[in-house]
Amino acid sequence: MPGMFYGKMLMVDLNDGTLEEREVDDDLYKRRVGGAPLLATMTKKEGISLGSGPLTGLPCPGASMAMACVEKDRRRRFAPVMLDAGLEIRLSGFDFIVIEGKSASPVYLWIRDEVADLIPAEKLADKDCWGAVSAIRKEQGDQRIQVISSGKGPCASLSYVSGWDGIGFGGAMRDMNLRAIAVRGMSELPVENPEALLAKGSEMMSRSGKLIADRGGAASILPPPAAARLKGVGRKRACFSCPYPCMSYAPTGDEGHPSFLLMDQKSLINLSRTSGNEVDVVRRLAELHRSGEQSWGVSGSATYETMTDGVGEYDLIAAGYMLGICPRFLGLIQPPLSAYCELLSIGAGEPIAKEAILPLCNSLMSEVAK
Amino acid sequence: MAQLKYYPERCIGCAGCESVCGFQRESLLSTMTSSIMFHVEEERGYYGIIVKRQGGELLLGKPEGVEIKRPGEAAGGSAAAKPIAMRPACDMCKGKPKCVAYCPTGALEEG
Repeated sequence: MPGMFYGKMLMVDLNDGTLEEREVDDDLYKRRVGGAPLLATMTKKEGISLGSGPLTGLPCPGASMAMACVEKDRRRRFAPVMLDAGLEIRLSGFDFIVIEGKSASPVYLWIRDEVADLIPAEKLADKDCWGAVSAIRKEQGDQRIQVISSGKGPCASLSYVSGWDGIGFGGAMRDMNLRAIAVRGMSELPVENPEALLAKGSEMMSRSGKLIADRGGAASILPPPAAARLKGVGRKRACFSCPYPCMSYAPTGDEGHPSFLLMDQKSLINLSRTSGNEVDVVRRLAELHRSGEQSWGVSGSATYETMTDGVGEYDLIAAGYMLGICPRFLGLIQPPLSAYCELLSIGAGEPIAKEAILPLCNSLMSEVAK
Repeated sequence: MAQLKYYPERCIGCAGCESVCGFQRESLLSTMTSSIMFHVEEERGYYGIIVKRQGGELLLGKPEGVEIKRPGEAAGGSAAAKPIAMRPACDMCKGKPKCVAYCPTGALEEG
């Protein structure tokens, strides 16, 4: 596993504005593999963190996921960071980004190609989540920058997408005076046996693609009553390297920002129960997401359920949180874990059996869920 | 030489093609040397790909259809798409294009 990471982390202390690069011990990767179990050891009291799994960003189905962690009241909660952000975090040059403290004035963290800065963010004060994303991309001159932004609500927006932050990551950022985290991955990450890894990943992707066929879109992940309320949505969209396009673009009714991605399954279900026509449901959702809210708020005690709502096997989803594979994809399609272990073995250059991974992730997830 | 064909109606915007092209070329994870550039404008609900082909041609894979721009023809589009000029041209992986094999929906074909 060490061979599948950069071997370094970024420590951010907002109290004094210091940014420090630190090495991560190889033994930690061997013991905890990656993703949530590693973040559990690194996240500071009342702090937040982001990190990758060993498969995040690699050519295999569902490899879009980085992890976000919040430590609050001596408990660590995790949420998946999806879309294109997993890849950008993976290629940022840091395996993990650990943030603590509180900034004296509003700032945003800007990370790219092993370089990180804290940028004054007073100019973003009058902007909602989406406005902050647009402003940062314009300031830094790159539309592919992935931005996690906090707003008035407890939930962060990932670029213009909400529905992933059931742990109050956005609220924690706001408490720290951290307006946004912007990441652009331009580094390189070597792995062992790249040809074999690409061949195996392609085989898995092809198999998953055939299984999924024409399925997809936001309506496909909703129960029929809620799916029926979704009208006028546009093109399907998948997260990075995922064969299942579980999201759809929908109209906001705002000419300045005409579309957003529907990913927030729970909010769609909740809002579809209220009165109002289909257009109202989608527009109400857009309003919520702009301000950093989801209709279901922060799920509190749930640690692994923000994306899956109980879909699929717990073991498989826990493995996803460790490896960097989307839990929603794993829950919906339920590809064999053994295939991902084989991929891990190829990339790490050493055999890693499913029988070794499963008890490891179960015991570690039980530990971090306390 | 065969070239890539793109079917926008099948594309789901996973950008796996861009990543796999870079991976194939450099044997490591990087998107900077891919012949394919995934282009997305999320606030417009717009995504597609740009492929740098041999001879300086650009395949513009837009949701509304595919255009081929020849050298010297203005490609238009936003500034975000300009870095394609720095990328190497597609060589079809010298026989079996990896992006075609990887695409889960058949949005890319060898043609």
